[in-house]
Amino acid sequence: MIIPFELNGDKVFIDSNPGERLVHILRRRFNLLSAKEGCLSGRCGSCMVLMNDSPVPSCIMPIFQVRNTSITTLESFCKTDDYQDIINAFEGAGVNMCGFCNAGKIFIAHTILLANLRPLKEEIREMFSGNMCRCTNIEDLITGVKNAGANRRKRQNVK
Amino acid sequence: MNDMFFTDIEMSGQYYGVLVRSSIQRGHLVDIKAPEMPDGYFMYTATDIPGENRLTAAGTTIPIFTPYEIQYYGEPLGILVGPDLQTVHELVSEVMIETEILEPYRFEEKFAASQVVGKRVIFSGDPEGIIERAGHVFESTSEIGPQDHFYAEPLGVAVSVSIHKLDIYTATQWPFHVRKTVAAVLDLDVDEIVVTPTRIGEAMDGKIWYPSLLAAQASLASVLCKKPVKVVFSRQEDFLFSVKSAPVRIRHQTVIAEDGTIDAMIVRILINAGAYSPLIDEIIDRMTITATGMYAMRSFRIETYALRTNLPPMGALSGWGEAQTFFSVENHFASILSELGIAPVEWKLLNALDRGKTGNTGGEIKEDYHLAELFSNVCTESDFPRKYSAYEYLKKKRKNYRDGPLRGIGIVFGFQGNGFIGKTYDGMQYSMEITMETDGRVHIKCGFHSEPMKQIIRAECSRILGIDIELISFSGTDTSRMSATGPETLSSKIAILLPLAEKCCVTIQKQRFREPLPITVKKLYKPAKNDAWKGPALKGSPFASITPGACVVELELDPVTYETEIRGIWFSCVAGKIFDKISARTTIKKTIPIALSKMLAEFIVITDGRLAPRDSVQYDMLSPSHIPDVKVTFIESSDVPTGIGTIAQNLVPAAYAAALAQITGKRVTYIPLDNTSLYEALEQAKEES
Repeated sequence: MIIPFELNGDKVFIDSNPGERLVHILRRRFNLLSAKEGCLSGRCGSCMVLMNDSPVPSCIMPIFQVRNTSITTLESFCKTDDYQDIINAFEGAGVNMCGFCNAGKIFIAHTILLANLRPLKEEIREMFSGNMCRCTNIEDLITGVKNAGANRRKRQNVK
Repeated sequence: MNDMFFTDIEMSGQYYGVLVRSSIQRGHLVDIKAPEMPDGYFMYTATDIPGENRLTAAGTTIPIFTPYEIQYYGEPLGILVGPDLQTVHELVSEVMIETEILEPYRFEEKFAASQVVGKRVIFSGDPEGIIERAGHVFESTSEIGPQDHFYAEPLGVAVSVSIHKLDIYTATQWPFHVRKTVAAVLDLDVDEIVVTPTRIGEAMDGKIWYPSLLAAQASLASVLCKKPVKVVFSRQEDFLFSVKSAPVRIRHQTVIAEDGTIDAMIVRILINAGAYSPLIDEIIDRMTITATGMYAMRSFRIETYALRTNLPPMGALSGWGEAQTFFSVENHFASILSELGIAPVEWKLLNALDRGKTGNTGGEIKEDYHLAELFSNVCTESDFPRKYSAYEYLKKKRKNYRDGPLRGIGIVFGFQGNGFIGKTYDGMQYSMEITMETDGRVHIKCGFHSEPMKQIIRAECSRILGIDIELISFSGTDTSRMSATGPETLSSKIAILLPLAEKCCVTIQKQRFREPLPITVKKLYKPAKNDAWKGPALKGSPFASITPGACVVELELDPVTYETEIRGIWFSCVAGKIFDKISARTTIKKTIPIALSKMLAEFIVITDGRLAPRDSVQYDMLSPSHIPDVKVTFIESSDVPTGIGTIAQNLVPAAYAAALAQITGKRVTYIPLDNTSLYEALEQAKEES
């Protein structure tokens, strides 16, 4: 089955079994390694990508569902100002990431900020519930996301 | 490659390896036959091993592939490799395995002498006599189940083979053990093997020896089929067969004197060591040493037995058994204090081990543990004395156990042992080599790769040598360029590796203006004379340093759903010299959810020797939304830094259990704790009232 979709801004066509996991396609066909194979059940967040600007776990996303959508991986997102807002804030807040879960943490932070540049602590806490990794703590993440919101407000001149 | 995960490594023409595993718990392997194999697919078993069919770590040996004796369900019997992973899996399912079944060893109070793989007994005075004469003996038993460390990246290894060289990539805490093991298994020279440790994430002392086993299995296949081989465990395989923390059962019997001091204590510890447990010597030592907590007592007897069973291999994981013993002893005392109606803080300070007192291994305590300050920190921040009294009062006044609010608060104290200087085995010695080049640059060769630790060492070297931190780098990325050293464990990093770096730099600083550059200094870690530890007798001071700590947890129990809400956690520890306060605080805060997950979420069901995750697919961890803000304070000093990697895991579960016991009036007897057992405890309390 030929499946067309947009990948990091480029139009691509994949000939694949429709049930194949998106994370496998990204890693094996495109060598996009930021999406990691962690739990393969959509629970740990290590394989997170943006699908039409919403975070999805690519390990439980069959490739046929990707048809005609736009997929963004961390390799592309890390070239944006939005990424810089987050990563600078994370570093400042002492968010210590093991590297395996980066996609999940960064895309969840981005999604929180897309909805609200002044997120509440409880909103942030709830959004990170789907992120299973033992490398950092939620308080640092809360501070990091709040500071990222401040960075983005400043950059976008939002009061 | 140190910046990569091994799962990101793809090798040209790579084969995939899948282990062929036993389907019985204990017995004999009579025959193993590969199915008809397509071209390019191979199966290798024990008979194909050219060298030693064993991994040796800390005095214990484990077969790479079992030749005859099957010791646990899922034990590797062979490896099947080929170019297509799906086909390899299908072929593995068709392997014919003929076995004879034997009755497995059980983990029970009564056991055969042949099951004992380790035993320690230490005593002082006549506790049996005191207990026999005592009017009242407080007795309790705690059981702590096994814990899996959920690794974000599943276990595995990538091996590539070329003429005269074998390259191994794996996430290991001990790359030199991988090299040594593979060399022995393949009958190669260690110089022909290069091990590159890949990014490890949070190993939590669960990747000390197990990656060596996987590396040996994959390397055998790679050498024999002359192809690069990659083995990646599935999530399920990782859960079922990776090392777990050993389940334990601990019984305490205590006599309290009229003045509130501890007259006598007898502790009996049973450790389920599984089929193999290479680190069991140190685990038994640590559990025995910490069995009486941080309390002074007139007489005691501690008996620890590690029992061989037919569960998968057991590992250290964070704390090396200390978390289990501190949980048990603090849980025991919480129920005694509740029964006697004694305020916990004053009683703990009265009975605490501190400067001038003698620990249960006979070593005199020379340092000030700052216990009054520790308790003051957590009590002031949490308002512990007032809340404790108020909740006790509410409990007594409560007519129905559903009359809320059902709140409790618990306080505990204990320590983390840093740099255990007990029995050291071949290859476990720590070393570091530092070179100052002619251009003033400094290269550090050491077999570890923790980034925060590297930053601390660079900063300290920069301070001692008086040079810019940018001039200091780590040159070793694989075993051919590292200085051979022991495992990088949570308790060794700051307690052993940093002093080694300091010693190297001090020596260079003394020589650099008298001798020409480059100067290379290599130092081996040796315990100081006054740290003398007489291993066989368990006498002396067993650790390079300890990190005392105290913790308060406050809970509210929902009487309808039996769910607990953690209202607050307050934590304080004596961290010595802190190089990076943010990083130190993060270390404590990130280990608290791990401790709470062990207490509340990480259920492992074992049926007939087989582990089954709770829902057959995943292993639960506590969600971040369940973790409240944690208040952490450090007591700093200009002394040496102390480790803080596991102190929270040693204390938080016990504080949680103490808070819960204040609500329910029932001691927690088993962790992990589920809502059903909580409901049963409350119902029982209701009937008793």
